[in-house]
Amino acid sequence: MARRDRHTRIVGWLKIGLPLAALAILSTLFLLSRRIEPADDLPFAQVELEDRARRQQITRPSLSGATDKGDLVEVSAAEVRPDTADPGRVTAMDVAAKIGFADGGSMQVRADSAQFDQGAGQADLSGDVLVATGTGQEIRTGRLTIALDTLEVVAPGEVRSTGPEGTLTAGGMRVTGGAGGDDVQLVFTDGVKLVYEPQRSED
Amino acid sequence: QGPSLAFGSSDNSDKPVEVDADSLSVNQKDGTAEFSGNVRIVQGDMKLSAPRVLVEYTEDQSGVERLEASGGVTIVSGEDAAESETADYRVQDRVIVMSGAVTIVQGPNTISSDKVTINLATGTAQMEGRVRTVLQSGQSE
Repeated sequence: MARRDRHTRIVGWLKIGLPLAALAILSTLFLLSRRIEPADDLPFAQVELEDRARRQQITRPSLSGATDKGDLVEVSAAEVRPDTADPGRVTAMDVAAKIGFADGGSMQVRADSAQFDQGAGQADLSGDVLVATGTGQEIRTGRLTIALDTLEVVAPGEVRSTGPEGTLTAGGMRVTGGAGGDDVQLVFTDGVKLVYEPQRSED
Repeated sequence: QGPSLAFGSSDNSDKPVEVDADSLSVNQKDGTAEFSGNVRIVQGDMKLSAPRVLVEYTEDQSGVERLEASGGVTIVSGEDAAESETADYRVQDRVIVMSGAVTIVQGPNTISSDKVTINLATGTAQMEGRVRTVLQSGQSE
């Protein structure tokens, strides 16, 4: 008899103890779990937030426009920062520009960085500048300026170009924006040295 | 077909064509290109100089078909020299067609005609039209 009483007492206690233990384990899921701070997970450190706010940095902007002659311009950049000293000036990083001339020519330009100066109406591109023209030339130079109103493009320093006419180096380059109705000309200036490899003659 | 004579050295290897000029302008609308200002074209031992040279591209715009020199052309190849108003250098066929008051100078002799076709590969010049030869008889010092 006594042995059976001990058994029922143990089972009685277990009937109370086990559910309490289950409740305790379950509560750790909610009460004791790590609190997730939503603000902590944003990719900006506090100092960068202040920095961005102070510099008003814009990421992946693009702007497009047209000249009065009807040429279309599209400029995009990885990052643009206004010049705190002079609001008319903007610095852009990793810049790409696409120009469609009204009379049919086209040109694509890329550069590591560019200074856009609203006042002077000019963009000053530098750093591994590459110009690809609709007529098949690929031109590399260190610096390029683009007049934002007439779209006249000037490379003041040495340029290297490859195209159907061969590979050439020149002292400078200029794209006349076709003002005054004449055709848009890409002019290599200050001495041109070109080498053309004739295609192997089949005969 | 007028007389033909040897001109320059025969050389049919496809040597690169080198062009020096003050400037090269490429028309972005129709794609024509023109060298201007002291244009000098050199291939092998052939040297052509002219004030203006127009570039004619191949059909598929992949290379140069012809170089049209104008405004007074001088060609020197080896010992021989030739002058004319214009010259059309077909780069692929390695042939230069000179036209307009063509004169060829070979040593003491000068030969003038309306049109001359110089074949760079075979080193021959084929004269056409009215041909006049001035032979320098003995050298009178």
